[in-house]
Amino acid sequence: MYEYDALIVGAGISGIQSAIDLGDMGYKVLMIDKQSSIGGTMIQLSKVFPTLDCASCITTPKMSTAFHHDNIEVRTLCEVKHYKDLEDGRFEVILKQNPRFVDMDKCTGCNDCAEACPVAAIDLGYDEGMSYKKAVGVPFATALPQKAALDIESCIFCGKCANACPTQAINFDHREEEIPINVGAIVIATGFYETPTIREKYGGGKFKNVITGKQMERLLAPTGPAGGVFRPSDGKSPGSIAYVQCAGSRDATIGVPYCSSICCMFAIKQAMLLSAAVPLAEITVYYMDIRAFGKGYEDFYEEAKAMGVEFVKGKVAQIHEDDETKDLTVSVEVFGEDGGIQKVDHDLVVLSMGVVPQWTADMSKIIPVQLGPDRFIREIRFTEEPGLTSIPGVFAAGMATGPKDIVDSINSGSSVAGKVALWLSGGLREEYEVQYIPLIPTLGK
Amino acid sequence: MIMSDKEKKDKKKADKTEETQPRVGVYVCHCGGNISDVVDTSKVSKIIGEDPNVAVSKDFIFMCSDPGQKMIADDVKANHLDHVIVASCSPRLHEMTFQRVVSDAGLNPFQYQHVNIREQVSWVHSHQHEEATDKSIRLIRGAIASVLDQPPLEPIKKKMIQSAAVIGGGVAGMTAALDLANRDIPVHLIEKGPVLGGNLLNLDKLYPMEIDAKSFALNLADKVLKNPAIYLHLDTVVDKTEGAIGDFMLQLKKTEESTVNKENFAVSLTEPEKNPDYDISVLHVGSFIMATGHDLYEPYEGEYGYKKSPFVVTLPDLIKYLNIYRGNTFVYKGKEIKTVAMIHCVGSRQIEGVHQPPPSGILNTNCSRVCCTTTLQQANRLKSLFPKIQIYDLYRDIRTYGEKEHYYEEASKNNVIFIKYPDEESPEVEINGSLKIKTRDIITYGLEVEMEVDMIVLAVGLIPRIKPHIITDLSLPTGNNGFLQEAHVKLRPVESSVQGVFLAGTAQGPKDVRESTTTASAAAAKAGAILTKESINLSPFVAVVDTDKCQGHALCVNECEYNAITIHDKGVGESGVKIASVDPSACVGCGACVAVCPEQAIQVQGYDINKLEKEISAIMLEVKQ
Repeated sequence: MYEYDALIVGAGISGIQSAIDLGDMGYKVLMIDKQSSIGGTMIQLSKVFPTLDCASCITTPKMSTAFHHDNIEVRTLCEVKHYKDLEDGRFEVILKQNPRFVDMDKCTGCNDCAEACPVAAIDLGYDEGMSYKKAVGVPFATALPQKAALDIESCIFCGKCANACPTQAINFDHREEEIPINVGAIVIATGFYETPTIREKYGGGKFKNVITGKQMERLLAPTGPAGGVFRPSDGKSPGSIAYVQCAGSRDATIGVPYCSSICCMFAIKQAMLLSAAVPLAEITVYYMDIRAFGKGYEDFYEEAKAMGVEFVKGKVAQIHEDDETKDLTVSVEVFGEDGGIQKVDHDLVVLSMGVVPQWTADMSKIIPVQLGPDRFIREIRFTEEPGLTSIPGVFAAGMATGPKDIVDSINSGSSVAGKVALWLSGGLREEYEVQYIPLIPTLGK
Repeated sequence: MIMSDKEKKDKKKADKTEETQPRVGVYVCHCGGNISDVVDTSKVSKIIGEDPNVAVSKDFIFMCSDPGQKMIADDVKANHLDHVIVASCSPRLHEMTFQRVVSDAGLNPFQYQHVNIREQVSWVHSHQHEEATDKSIRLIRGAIASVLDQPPLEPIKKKMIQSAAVIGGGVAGMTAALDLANRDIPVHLIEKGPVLGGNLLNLDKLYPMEIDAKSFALNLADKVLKNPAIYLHLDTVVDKTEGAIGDFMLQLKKTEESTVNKENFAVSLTEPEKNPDYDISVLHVGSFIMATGHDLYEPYEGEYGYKKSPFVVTLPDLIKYLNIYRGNTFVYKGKEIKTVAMIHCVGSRQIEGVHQPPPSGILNTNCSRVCCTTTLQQANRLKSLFPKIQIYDLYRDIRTYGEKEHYYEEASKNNVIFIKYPDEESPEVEINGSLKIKTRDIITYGLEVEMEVDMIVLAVGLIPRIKPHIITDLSLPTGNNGFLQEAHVKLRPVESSVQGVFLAGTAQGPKDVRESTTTASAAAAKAGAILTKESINLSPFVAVVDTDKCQGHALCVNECEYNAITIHDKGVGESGVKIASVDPSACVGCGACVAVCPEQAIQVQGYDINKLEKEISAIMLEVKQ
């Protein structure tokens, strides 16, 4: 039985921030992530608003600090399997360590295995389906740990990687393991997915040149799959790019009645990056309301307008795909003086899909935290002490509790670290006695 | 063996090369294209590699990533590097990151030098590839010349006074004070008014949980008062601030008796009975949190008819009125109000040439973040109190982000009529017995609309407070819009760039209550982490005085923005002779004092004038192609 002060579930930017802050305060932390590298969603991104710093420049140093921190232990490919509240302020947790099929001690991260691997499977993870990946290898250039992992789903068991490995690190005998631990506090920082449902009227996911915001992030990222922005159907450089805002939020019919908070800003940012990456392209953003509410965001929006990005108040009703050319026609009701129903041709359409929590009702069967009406983890003291869940000693940070941009996620990570420290030092006990009736009404009722 | 003089000299030179030839490692970062799209990084690293002082010269996609850091650490050990230079982004971002890397690898962290070829090269010369490459080489050569002379330095250790101050007794201040005090850190909570609660006291229900703002404030204030580790200073302002992290001196001053009627608030809010140190006028704390809050924009006379008609009110005025109004119909100043128009973005999202700047003269281009939701919350409240009331909502964008979207949905269901007016064309208000509004509605394709209403509610924005002394005393940086500026928006979001000073709540920019408590707890967590340490390490790059040369002219004292230099008697038996001395914890190493000293008696340690001259000479050398 290993003992820690805190277990952090999810090693994205808010989990990492919580871990570093707790580690700096002297607490022993175990941080786990179900992926083969830490870094979460942020490590996939290109540049970030409103400063246009590269996302990696913020994420990788924080990843590195956490990974090498004396007080922080990191486990990847690891999930929570069982949980028991010991009701004395501690928890017993059984972790599920999924097999990596690569011995971490032997692997040097040379990536010879990936060179030898003949598999080319669609990379649905890091590259969001925009490229192919080998069945084995270091997950990506800035991954941590810098160790190969083997994806058993796409592996064809040809054994070429094992032969190529100079240190005999490939090991097909790995099995799932159970690791019992005892912790004083748990932080759930499991982040979000893009809203998964692409509506039929937007092609239902079948139109090749209709991509999601996160796919565009990969195309724009310096670590991206294509070294530039291209049309998936024919690899041509798009001359006209459209953004459809609120494609996966503010819509009760797809189960996402809330606003996702980040899509306006990432669309504006991507539009600005596209003006540099594809200088001749015309970029149009179809929006309902531009929600540039953070510090410096409004100036950023004005900057994008000045750069020539066209913002059109309008609701996109339908996207039509030409069977042969795969060109797209967007039907939209445009508001404003020359408004009305319009059909506009575009080469590439980006859907700003919005966010849904990665933490699901099923996961709440393992750690029984209550969910709110929007299915994010409910905070019992939402306004006064954000981050406290319905279970004393279990906390939630970042997008796990609701839509947040990166700044707010980092602040959430730090503030939760503070609350965990209070809990561990015996404070906070009385906070759980004050229960407010949950008054957030269900949206879209 | 007998050697000729020449042979001896050559031998000596060879030994010297072998033993004392500097071994500098230079690392050029691509910054994932941010730099390498403009600067030919491989050429830079190749040319720099030809310098005899350079033992290793490499370029890499992200030097700050773990593989990049590992590369440096491995090279330091394998190639016995004695100095390291990374050419990448601004030192504000990652100088500390790389200092830590070289320190972990066994080098003195101050034998590291950071060169900025992103903000100072690739971002500003994005269309001049060759020149940018040339400039990068020159800057790195300058750094090599400078780092060669760099002696190992030790950080300055300073004792930490393990208590804190929180300035501002609003929601952020109280939350931060409680979080610190609950970790057994003594806290002085300083509030300029007679009561705790700040801007909370003017609110109605706090969205989205609809908690009553006043009971929320009372609840927090009650905890503050009961907490034995919190020393409360009401009716008090910070008059003067000196010092630096580890030991800040705050001189307190009682404000004039306030006119606020204390009867309105619970007695407990005003009773400072448990404070034995209540008369303290000088505090010494190791760190403090700025939670000084915001002011509300005050419309100018005539802005949408404000002050020209009594029926043009601000949103906070409406909230205050509704908080005490108990009628069945909405009567205001003797008139029954049947139609209300609410106008968004008053004093926020201001555009040059369209809006008149506030008295500060600086346009508030920010979005104030909270007014959309509050406006719709109050529209819904009016509808539920007085179901027959007609409400027009004149907006630019409705920014009910996250779960707050609910208020927008509810307002639509309540038949609030939404009119989107053009950004550059504010609605016009005519007062002619009645209130008439003229505007264009984008939703109806730019149709001109006119409406007569009984009341106009202006959703005024949040603006920064007029700078308290403390900001000017310590030169705390503020941003374009006048709010306190964080050291880095993502790396250090609740820290000021002045070490030991943290930011919480709306002093930093518009935030709702939840966001204020989040930043307050984050600031308390960060401050707590340093306040529990007995001492801290400070940068050794500070000014030092050559006591033999100093003549006590005191020019440096006037030049120093950080009040780090004082003049005093030289010593016993030398009365009348004055010299300068530097408080190393307040000094930021800016060098302003160096430039004004006629005796050259003050220098920045580890960065003296000789070194600077060598650096400049190296930068001026032609780059051979």
